[in-house]
Amino acid sequence: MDSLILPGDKFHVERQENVVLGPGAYCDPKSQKLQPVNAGIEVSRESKKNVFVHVEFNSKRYIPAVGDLVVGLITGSYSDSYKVSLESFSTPVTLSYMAFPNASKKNRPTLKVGDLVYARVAKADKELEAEIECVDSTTGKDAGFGLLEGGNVAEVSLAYSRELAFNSEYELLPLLAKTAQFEVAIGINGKVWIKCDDVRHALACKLTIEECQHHKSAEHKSIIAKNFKSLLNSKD
Amino acid sequence: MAKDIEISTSESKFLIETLRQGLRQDLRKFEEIREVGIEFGKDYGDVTVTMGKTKVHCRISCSIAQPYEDRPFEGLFYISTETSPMAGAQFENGNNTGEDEVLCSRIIEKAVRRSGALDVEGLCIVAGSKCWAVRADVHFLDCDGGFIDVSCIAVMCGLLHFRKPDVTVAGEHITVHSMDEREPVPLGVLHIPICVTFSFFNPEDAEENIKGESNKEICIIDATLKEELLRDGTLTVTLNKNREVVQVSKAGGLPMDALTLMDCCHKAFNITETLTDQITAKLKQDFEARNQYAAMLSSENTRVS
Repeated sequence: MDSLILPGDKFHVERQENVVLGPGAYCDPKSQKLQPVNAGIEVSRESKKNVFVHVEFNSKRYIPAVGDLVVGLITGSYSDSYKVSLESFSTPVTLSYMAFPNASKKNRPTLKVGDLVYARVAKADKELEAEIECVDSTTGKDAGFGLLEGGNVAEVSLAYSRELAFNSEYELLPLLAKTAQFEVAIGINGKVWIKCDDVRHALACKLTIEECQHHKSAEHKSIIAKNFKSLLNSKD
Repeated sequence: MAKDIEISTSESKFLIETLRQGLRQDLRKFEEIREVGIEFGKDYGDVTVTMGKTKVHCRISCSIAQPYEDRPFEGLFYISTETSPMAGAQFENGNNTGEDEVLCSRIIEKAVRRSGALDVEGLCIVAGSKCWAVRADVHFLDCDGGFIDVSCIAVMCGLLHFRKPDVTVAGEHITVHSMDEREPVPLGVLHIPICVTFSFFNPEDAEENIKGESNKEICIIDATLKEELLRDGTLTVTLNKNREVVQVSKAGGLPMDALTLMDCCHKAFNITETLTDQITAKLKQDFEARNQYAAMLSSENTRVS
């Protein structure tokens, strides 16, 4: 059931055991009571074994959580790791040289400062620097992570980046794909990397994604049409 | 030290590539400025100016002070431009020693104060002992590039909008009349300087940055924050409606031609004209709204006729 929930309210969860807490949900260690700590939409999903509860809310600063797929920017390199920024003015995270497919002591990754990478958050503990990885750590194989070459980045709100990534019914990207060909990597940290062969298309895609976050899905079609029209018409 | 905004090589390459194709990130033309919004507050000399996402607030205030000994006939005029993290996390609190911040306040100072936009002699009350000290406090509220241009407009709008209390002088004794008692008097503004900032991008290799022979640089007006971070050179031209060049400021960066400079000045003049008209129209509108009951009210004394 999806409903608005505020800190101090009660979750609409009957089961007491096997409850998995997501962002915005907190279990008081003393009373073992479940309570929301953020205002937003309550989302609970039940499987045979567990109940998953979290609060869907928008926020300004991205806080890494294990399993998030993010678009990061390499800002420095050390002897055994890279320093990666997920957001300007936030604490940097580390990307170890060993967190790449086929990594070994001799086989070093060749990323440079200023490059963009697509990665997964591997460790995110409080008070510690988070770690990200460019490899599927369960199999040790390449999983589509790594350097994002060229392209450009659209910056969207955190809630909208989750909408783009997790809501399979969200129509924007399929709609956009009808008009232009593009590659996309959605970072949960509010960065959406897009690459097109044509610069005009790339700019139109970027503007469309940034604009559509403030509009209802019904208007998306007209926004796409408007952006592509104005860009392609300006061609001399 | 406060951290800088980080931009990836992909993004900077993309920006240059779009510029090369004659496009800007927000689909503006190269010589197009963002829409300027001017809003006056309830008090005199309280103005908020927006340009795109950039937002600057300016408050003019005045007090009575002693003039400088070597300039007994002149009033005082200060402009305080202090950035705070409110404008963006790249600005540090209490530390305005960054290159851009110093340059920004120097240019505003030069454009408004040293160009004589405010008639400081009109601020004198009693020569050598009392004068008005006018103070312009500029608050940067939101940063999306173009601080110099916006704050110059904000200070000028504030000065034009401000009214100082009326005073009567009887020998050494002066009386300051409250705003209710006597109609406050406007400041003497001699001209309206408008700053226009050009940003230059080098579409070629790094060698061009030093030699500057090919003159293929891309020139855009009113850069956004991202364009400001990636530009190779900048030029600020300050002009007024009388076609007078108040200042030209080019602190390093990509070398440029004399002819390009002339060209920039001509472009800047068109912008200056439209902005000046916009400012005067907005001021007129504000004062009409303030004085809408003036025709009805009358303070004539019927007994003396």
